[in-house]
Amino acid sequence: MASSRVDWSILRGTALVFVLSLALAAGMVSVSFYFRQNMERQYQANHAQFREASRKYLAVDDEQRIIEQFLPEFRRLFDGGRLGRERRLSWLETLRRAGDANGLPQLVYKLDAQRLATPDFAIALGDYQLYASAMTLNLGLLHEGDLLQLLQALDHNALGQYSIKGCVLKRAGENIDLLAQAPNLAAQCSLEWWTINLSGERGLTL
Amino acid sequence: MISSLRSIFSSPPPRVLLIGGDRAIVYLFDGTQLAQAYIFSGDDHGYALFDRAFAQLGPAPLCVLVDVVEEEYRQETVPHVGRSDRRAVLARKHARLFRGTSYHHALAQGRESDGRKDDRVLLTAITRPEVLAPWLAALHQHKVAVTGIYSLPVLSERLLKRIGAVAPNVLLISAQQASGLRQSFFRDGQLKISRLAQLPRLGSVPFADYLLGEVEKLKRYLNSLALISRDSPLSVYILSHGQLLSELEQHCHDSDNEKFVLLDVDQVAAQVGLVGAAGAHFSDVVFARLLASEVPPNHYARAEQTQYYTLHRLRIALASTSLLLVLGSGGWSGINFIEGVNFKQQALDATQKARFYNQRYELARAKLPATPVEPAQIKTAVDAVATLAQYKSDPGQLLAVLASVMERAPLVMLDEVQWSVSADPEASVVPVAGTGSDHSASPASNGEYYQIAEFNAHLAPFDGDFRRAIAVVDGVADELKAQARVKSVEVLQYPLDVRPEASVSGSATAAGAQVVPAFKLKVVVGVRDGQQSS
Repeated sequence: MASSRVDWSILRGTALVFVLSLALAAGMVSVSFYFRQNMERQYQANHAQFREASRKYLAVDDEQRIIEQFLPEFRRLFDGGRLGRERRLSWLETLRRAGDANGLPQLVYKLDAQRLATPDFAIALGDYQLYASAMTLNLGLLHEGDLLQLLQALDHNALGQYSIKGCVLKRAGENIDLLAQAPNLAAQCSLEWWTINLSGERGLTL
Repeated sequence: MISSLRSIFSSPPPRVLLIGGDRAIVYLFDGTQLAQAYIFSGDDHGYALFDRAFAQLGPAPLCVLVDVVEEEYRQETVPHVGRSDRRAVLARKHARLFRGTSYHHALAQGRESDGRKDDRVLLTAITRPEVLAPWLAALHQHKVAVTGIYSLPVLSERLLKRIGAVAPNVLLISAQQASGLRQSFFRDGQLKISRLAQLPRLGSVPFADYLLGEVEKLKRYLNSLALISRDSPLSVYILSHGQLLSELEQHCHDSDNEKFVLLDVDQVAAQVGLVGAAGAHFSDVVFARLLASEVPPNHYARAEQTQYYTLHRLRIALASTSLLLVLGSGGWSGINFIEGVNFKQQALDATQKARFYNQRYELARAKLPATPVEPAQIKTAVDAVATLAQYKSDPGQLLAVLASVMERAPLVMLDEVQWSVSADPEASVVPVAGTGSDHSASPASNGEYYQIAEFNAHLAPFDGDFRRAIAVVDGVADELKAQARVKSVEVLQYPLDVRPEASVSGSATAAGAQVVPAFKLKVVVGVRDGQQSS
């Protein structure tokens, strides 16, 4: 049956019904599929909320234990300048007092702007960020023990935590005179003051 | 649209048009019953009525059954070849045997038992197409879906099984109102020859005598063609009814060569599934019902004559597909919708449970002291500070090592100490990095950290004995190597460079020994992660 001789008038109505059925079927399938997907997505989201809520509820006992065990230490670390905002004034005051106490002939410091630090060792920070401020110390020392005493003073009195990255100690003259006011050794050390804090504007407060 | 669907899906009553020599009859069936029969004479008046009838009856499918005297039968053999070749061979046979007609058909009837084992075929044709033309023209004009044009004698093969005519030689005789007295001979259930005789007006001549006379004529013809098997008698099946049947019973006597089986048309009609036959002598309705009950493949119709049936089937296919689409998508959508509603319900349940647990949590949490961050984050912060403390480094440890060794080497005067930490023991000492440098530039530790120191020193007093000076330096290096945690000690520079490739100058006299015997050592102390603090 050649297509040119086909009497399409017989098929016209049925073809129209077919096209309408196709459109109706496509419409029903897409709408129902979209509806189902949306509902499933909503269910997944709500179920996740439920799981989180139940987990939190079941973890209350753990939270109580953590608070009892760690909150005092947390407060101590915050007060000690290792958590929260860095305490530059404390560092500098400690330096000055230690220099005076040890009678250091020379103590010059340089403190850089705080930056986000990426440590080269594994550390679990959770929601926190590790910040670092680089400090360079140029010291005139009577002997090398002065450097160790200065570092001990920083350990005990400065609010914060540091790590020394490098040091150079040089003999200033041929002989060491422990009674002289002029430095026998020149030392240059680079330190990093570490602070752990929440990122952005959310800084830790007690 | 609904009415259109109904017209498509409602099963139309089977319709059969039986075309005879001088009239045509339309049979409309309602299930197993004959609903209506219309008889049209083969003249202008009949054609006009036929045309008007189909204007009202509509284009539903119709089977055209032909029982005309102008139908011829030829026994032929054709080579046993493939389908396309066979078609070509048959086309040549038809063209040669039946000129001027396109209504021809071939029935395969087995193969020859000897020789090339050719195929046996019965070729049939309606030699005068004009007999059908007026009726078919009207059907075409009204776009009637003609399923095909069928030969009544060929169709009779099917009737044999219904009436149990399984003998080798069967002569089937039936009277049709539309055509006349049809006599068809079957050998082993296959049509071999058929003849249509005039049927005199009933009552005008003794029917039994006339019929037996016609049987005798056909028998002579069959004998002349040697079609009858000599091993079995000729079984003559006669379809009739009422008084004529009684008359035949009186005249038809079995013999060695003949065996008569007289069948009531009503009984045969029931055997082909027709309930409530009209009780007539004629068998038209039997064949019409036989055709309508199981429509066989087309015999004679050309493609253009069945085009409306093709379109009709296409229409049904489209409509069925539409229905399936709607039902299928409706079902699928329904399942989706039900699942969606279930998800919605579960989502609401989850929300309620979440709210419940949140309230419980808030109540329990209210009893705990206020914390600046989530409790878990308190522990994280404390642990992180502890980790930092573990990695805190200072030069005290290495200076202590140096001091303990130098105490036992009074000749060695330290001039300079450079100290740094690194994860790479081969790293050069960079004691004071540029301010603001990123510490992460150091290679990542793989579990071990190193304190690296290079120190410059000289020997004093020095008497010019370089051999002894070198021995002192080696002694210091050996002492350092013996210290715990010292990973390596390397003499970077001796008081006197005695390597062959080095240039050396100085005074070899004791008075000229004013040179400073300086040397340089590199010491690497290894510490595991978290053990930096001394």
